[in-house]
Amino acid sequence: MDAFSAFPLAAPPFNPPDSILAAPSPSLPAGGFAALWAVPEVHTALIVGSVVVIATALVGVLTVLRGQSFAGHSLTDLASVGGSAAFLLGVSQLWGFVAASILAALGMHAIGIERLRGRDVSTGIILGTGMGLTSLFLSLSTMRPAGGSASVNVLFGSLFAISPGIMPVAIVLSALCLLMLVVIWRPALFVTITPQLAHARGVKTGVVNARSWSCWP
Amino acid sequence: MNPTDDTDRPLLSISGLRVALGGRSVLNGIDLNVARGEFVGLIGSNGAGKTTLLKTILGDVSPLEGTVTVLGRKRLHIGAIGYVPQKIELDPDLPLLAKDFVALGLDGHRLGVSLRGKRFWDQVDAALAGVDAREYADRPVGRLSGGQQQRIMIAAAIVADPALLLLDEPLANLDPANSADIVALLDRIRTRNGIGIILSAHDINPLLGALDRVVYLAQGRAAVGRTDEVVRTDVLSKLYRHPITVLRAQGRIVVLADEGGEPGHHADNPDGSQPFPALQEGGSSDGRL
Repeated sequence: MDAFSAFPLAAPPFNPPDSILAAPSPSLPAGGFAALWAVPEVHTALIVGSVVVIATALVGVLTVLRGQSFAGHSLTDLASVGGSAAFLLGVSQLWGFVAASILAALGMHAIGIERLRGRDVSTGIILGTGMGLTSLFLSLSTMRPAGGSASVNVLFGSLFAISPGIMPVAIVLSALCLLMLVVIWRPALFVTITPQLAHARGVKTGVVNARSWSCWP
Repeated sequence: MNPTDDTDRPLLSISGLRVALGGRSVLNGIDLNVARGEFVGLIGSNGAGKTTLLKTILGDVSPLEGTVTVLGRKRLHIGAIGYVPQKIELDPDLPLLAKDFVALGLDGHRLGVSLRGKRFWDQVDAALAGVDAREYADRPVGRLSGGQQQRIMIAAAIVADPALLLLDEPLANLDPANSADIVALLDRIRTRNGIGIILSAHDINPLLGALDRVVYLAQGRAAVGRTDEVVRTDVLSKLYRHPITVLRAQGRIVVLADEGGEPGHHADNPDGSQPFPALQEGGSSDGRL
């Protein structure tokens, strides 16, 4: 009885070596695919990953419509400024990431990322600055006794290395983001498509832009 | 819009308006009063300041000097003005139906979940019927043709029943037949809804049948009045500070810039008529200097 009997459609066309099908370690109950589900880190990764994906996908609709994909992507790299600063200060890194990305989003709005002309240039300059700051904080961290693995932890986290305590935080943050999206959806769409008519109808363009931007973190 | 209040106030009142953009003076002393339900044409060449004037009325641009009041109020009263921009590029994959676009014009300023009942959609439907766009109301707005999108944008601008409708060069890329259609459509909307219309254009000819008054913009100044009062050789020459000749032929107007010398000074025919009798159709030169 091999592990693929539970998934009749998933039988590979080739003959996998026995090492794949066997249980990964004596402490785990099953082999093959069932071994994955038996690991608690996988549950955490699945749940955190799912809520983040749902929130991101919905925010992404607005982002793509506004042509701000590059700026939005660079927000995650700017968040690492906060993560590395938090590591340096010994504070929880997650909140460092969140605080930094919200600040960066509002900062981008303040410098006029909404304007089409020069948008990518502004994003690139800020991104370069952010990466420099991250490097600075990380190198400062390595000078502290407990900071040797700072760079790996901050920059190259793994989805499977998330501690289960993060789960409720991730769910709440994603829910907040979705809530803000629902509230701001109509004016944001209106401002994205026809800013002049939206202005004529009394939409405060600046406020709506700022709020839709801060959904990104 | 209640027709009973502010009946004694003009719809739009501009006095002493001076506007500068990027350090350059664009409008230099504009005075204009528009009454309710008037059809006003804003004529001028590129760079004359037509878009700037429309944006100042809308409140997008702050003037250096002068006042702009709509229905007697300086601050923009929400829903008083509808605006149709010149060119709008809608992504073909935009996940929005035409009627949803018009619906945004009615409640796009509200936050939160939309509660759109029967009365809401009746209003949207009335706006779509007003621009003859009912056939394609259920199609994605990004997939409509340019002319259809223009009608949808007009519908979105009038659905909230504004008192004043501003259009920035709506006839710019249209052939003469479609031009005439849109002008007739706007005239119908005007008489049916009592909306005042200001629309900017290069060429006055498509608007001749529908215009109440014309505002001719040049060099930051304006000449305001009825077409026969304003579009004249002497008035335009003074406005442009350059000799201009205005010719009327076969019901059309042609504005020509002279080489130099006295404006409109041509030897008349012996019977006193202008020396350029029957002109070709499609004379659309329009004072572009």
